Amino acid sequence: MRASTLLLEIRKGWKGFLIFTAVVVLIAGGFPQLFPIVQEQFEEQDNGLEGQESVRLVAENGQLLLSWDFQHHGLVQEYRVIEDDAAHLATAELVGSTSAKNMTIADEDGDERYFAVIAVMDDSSQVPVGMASTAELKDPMAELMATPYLQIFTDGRDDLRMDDMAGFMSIELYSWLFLLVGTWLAYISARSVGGDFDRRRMDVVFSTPLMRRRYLAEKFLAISLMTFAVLMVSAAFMTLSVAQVGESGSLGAWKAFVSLLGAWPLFMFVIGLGFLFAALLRSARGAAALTFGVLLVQYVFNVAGHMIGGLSWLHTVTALAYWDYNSVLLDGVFVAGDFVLLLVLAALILLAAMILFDRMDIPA
Amino acid sequence: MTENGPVIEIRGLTKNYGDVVGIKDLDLNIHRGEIMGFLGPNGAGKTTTIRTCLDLLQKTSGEVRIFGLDSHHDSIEIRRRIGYLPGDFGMYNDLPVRTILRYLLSLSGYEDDGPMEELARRFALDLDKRYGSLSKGNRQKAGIVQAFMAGQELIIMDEPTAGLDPLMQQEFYEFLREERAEGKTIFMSSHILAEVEEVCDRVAIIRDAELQVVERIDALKEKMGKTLEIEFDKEIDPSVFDIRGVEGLEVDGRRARMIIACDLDQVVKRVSEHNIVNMSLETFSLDQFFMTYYSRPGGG
Repeated sequence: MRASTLLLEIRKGWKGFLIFTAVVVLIAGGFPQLFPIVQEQFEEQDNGLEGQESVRLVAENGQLLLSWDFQHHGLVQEYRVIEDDAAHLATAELVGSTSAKNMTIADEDGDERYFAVIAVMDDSSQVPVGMASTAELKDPMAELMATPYLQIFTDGRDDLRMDDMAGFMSIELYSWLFLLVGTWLAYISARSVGGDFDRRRMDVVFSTPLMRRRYLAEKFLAISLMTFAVLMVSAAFMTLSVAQVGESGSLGAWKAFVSLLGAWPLFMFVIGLGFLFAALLRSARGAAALTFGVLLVQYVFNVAGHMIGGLSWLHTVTALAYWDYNSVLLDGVFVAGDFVLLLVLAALILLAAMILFDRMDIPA
Repeated sequence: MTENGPVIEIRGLTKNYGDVVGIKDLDLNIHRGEIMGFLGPNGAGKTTTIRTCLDLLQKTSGEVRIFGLDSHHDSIEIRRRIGYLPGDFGMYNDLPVRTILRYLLSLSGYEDDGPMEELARRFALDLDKRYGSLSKGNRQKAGIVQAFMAGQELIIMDEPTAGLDPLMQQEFYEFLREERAEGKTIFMSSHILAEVEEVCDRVAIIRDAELQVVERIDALKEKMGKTLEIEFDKEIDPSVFDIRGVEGLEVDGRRARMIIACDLDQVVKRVSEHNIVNMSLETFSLDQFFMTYYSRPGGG
C-alpha cells in the first residue's frame, strides 16, 4: 500500500498551506525592510541632546554656568533658558532671559536637569539654540531593552539589541512566531483528524485495510512536511530581505535557515497535540480549542518564567523553551540536543494519540 | 472457513455503550452467495451489529468470525476482502469524486480503476464533480460505487438505497442480483420492506437489541396467511367461520374478513352453503408481517 493518506492530506491541504506560507513569508521578509527605519531612529537618539554641540554647561562653586554659541542672519532680541527634569522638555519652565550668551544658575545637587536655550529674534520668532544637561548621557538602546515590556521577548539575554538585525528579528518575529504558526497548526491538525470524525469519514476509511496507526502517521508526516516547507520558504525570503537591506553580516542565510529549522520539531509537537486531542474528543472544534489552549499556556509560562524571578522554573517545563533561536541568531550555535529532545517529545505525543485511537470505538 | 461454511458467523455478540445495550447476545450466520436482509426499527441495533463486525466498535462479549477469521485480531485481513457502505457516507467536500474513490481504492490495495469507471457509468455518477456539490442521491451512488469497485467477495451495506430515486433503486436491485449470481455475499440493513422482499434470500429481524427471527423470504411467504374478504347477501353468523386455522375474524353485518392460515378449501366449502355476493383473497404482505413483528411486544 503506498502512502495514499499522506498524498491525499497534501492534496487537500496544500492550498491552505500556500496561503499561510504567503502570510508568514510576508512577515518574515517584511520585518527586515523595517530595520533601517528603526536603526535610524536609534542612531538619532544615540547622538545625544539636540544642539548639544552649541551649549556648554559647567558646574563651578555651587553654580552652573551655561554658555552657548549662536550664528544667525537675523538680530537676536534676547535668549531664553528653560529647564525640565527630562530630555523631552514637555514640562519645561522658564529659568530666565538674557541678551548675553551665558547664564549662571544655582546648582541643586543630585537632580538630573535639562536646559534648553532659545533665541527670540527681532521679529519675535523663536529659534532653538541647543540643549545641555547635568545628567550623564545614557545609551537609549540599553534603556529600551531594560524596559519590562521588552524583557518579555529577550529570552533572558542581556546581549540582545534592537539596533542589530539578529536582535531586531528575534524580538519582532521569532518571539511570537510560535503563536502564529502554532495556532494555525492547532487548527489544521485538529481538523485533519477531528474533521474525519465530524464528517463521518472514519467508517469508510477504516472499512479498508488501513491501520489506525498508519492513518495518524501519514497525516502527521504530511502536515509536518508542509510545515517544513513553510519554515524553509520563510527562511529563504528572510535571507533575501536581510541581504537586500545589507545586513547579511548580522543575520545570514545559515542563521535564518537553522534558526527556523530548530522550530520544526516544536511544531511537530503541536501537530501531535492536535491529533491527540482530536482522538480524545472526537471532534475538530474542541480539539483545536484545547490545542490552542495548551499553546497559550506554554507561551504564558515561558514569559512568566523570564519575567518573574521566583518562577523561572516555569520556563523550563515548556516545550517552547527548547527552541533556542537566540542561540543561533546571536551566538551562531545550533543546540542539537534541544532539537532531538523536541523530536522525541513530538514522537511521544504522536504515540499517545496512536495508542488512544487504536483502542477506541469510532462513533457513528 | 470451509467453502460451504458461513462467511459471517456471529455468536453471542453483545455491545454495550456504558449502561445502554446496543445489541444483546446476537447469533447470526450469513452464507456464501446469499443476500441477507437485516431489518429493524430505528435504534434496534442494526448499525451497531454491522459496525461491530467491521471492528469500528469493540464488542463487549461474544464472537464474530468473518471468512473464518476473528473480526478484531484479523481485522486488517478481513477488511482486504470486504466492501462497505455506511449509513452516512461522508467524504471530502472539496475533492472530486474520482480522487476520493481512487484514494479508497488504493487503501484497499487496488490500482485498477476500470470497475470504478464502469460502475459510475452504470449508476450515472459524474466522477469529475466535487463531492460537496453532489445531491444526497448522488452521494449515495458514490457510496455504492466505492463499496463494489474493488470487487470484494463480501459487501456489507447500511441502508444502501437511502436517497436513491425509484428508477435507480430498481437498477441497484438488478445489480445486486447480478452480484449474487457471481457468488458475492451481501449483508444489508434496510428500512424498506419491499426492498428486502425483492432482493434478499433471507431476512434477520432485530428489535430492541435482540434478534427476533432469521428466515428465508420464500419460507416466510409460505408460512404467512392470506386475507379473505367475503360479502354475503344477508347478515352472517360468525360461527360459520369456526374453523381451525381461521384467525382475526371480523364480521360486520353481511361482510366478513379473516386471515386464512389453513387449507382454503375447507373455508370455501363451509361458506358455499350461503349466498356469496363478492369474495376477494389477498396474500398477506411482508409489510404486514414485519409490522406485526415490530409492534408485537417482545417481537415474534
